Amino acid sequence: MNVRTAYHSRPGFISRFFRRVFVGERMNVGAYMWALQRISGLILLFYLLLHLYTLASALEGLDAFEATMMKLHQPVLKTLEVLLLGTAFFHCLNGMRLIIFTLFVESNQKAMAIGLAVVSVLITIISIPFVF
Amino acid sequence: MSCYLLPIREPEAIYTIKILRYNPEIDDAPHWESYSIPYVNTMTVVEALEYLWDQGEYIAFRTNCREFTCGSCAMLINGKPRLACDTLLEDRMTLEPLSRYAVLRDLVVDNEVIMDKLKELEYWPKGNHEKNSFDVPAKVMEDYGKIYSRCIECTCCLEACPMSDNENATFIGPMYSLLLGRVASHPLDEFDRVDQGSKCGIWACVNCFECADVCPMKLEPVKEVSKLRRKAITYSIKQIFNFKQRTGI
Repeated sequence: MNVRTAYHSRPGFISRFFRRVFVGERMNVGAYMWALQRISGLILLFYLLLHLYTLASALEGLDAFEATMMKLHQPVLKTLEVLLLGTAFFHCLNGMRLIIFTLFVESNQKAMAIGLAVVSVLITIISIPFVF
Repeated sequence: MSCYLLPIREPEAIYTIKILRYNPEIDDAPHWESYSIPYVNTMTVVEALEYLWDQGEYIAFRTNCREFTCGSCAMLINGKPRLACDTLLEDRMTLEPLSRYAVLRDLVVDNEVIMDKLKELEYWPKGNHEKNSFDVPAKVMEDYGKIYSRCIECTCCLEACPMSDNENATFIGPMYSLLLGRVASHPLDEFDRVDQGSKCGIWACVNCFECADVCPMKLEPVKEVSKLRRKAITYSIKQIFNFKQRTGI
């Protein structure tokens, strides 16, 4: 088509998502779950890199590794570890929710989303004594 | 030039709306302009645009049926894809053309790419058309009545989809997936729609339900994507068993 046209800037979905959150617009539960899945995935990826970096201290010998491990025995880091567990559980259960939704189309999105959030919180609370 | 509107003698309020305008003969880029509209009860966005035409503000927009059946008046209203004939006018509303397509003028976009994509998808039944009699399962008839035939192809779902930015994206988008689901369930279609669906990126859908949220017909294209996925899974499992039969392993 030989007509002069123009595209106006289209913000990305993440930007649109946070803009809608900012103005208080109600969204479908699936949109929240998708955003949380992405965010929790990024947190887990960051943790994985940090984990590998920490383990790499073992290459410098047993003493260096134990010194690094000692540094990690702090209440703040333990709390972060509990939150990380919660994130991992959420990410895992949300992935299972998507598989269930694909296999059983008529499944209830909202009920599953609320269920997985409750189960994630419960498992996280149960795991607290094991971490500390 | 006048539209269908009766003269507005006693407006309930004066509303101000902003429209993103673009005239390729004059403007270098789209720009916002504000307009005052005398609001009367049940006034829709289409009627507001027609009122502006009556006032000599020739804002380009598409509309045909005015009763959300044709889907031609889809635009971004307050940043959300909606039909102008299905949306009541509000104060400080913003109207923009759909951002997925190139703007031809004001609120009119170049949607020829949709027809090109539909031709490329070959979304009509392909196969043995000489067959005179065939059984149509009751479920298929029900799906056609309740889902497939109700899609007005307004492209609101394509605009809202986070995983499909244009016709060449990895995931073709909700509307095309629904149309693919329609032809895949057609009794005369013998084309490998499962393979086609996989090539069209049905596995990239994130089940966010944004398409269902904006659909003026209250359809849920995301569920059609899931149905196509289930067909693909069933097909793959059958292939595994066929392999066993053939090789005896």
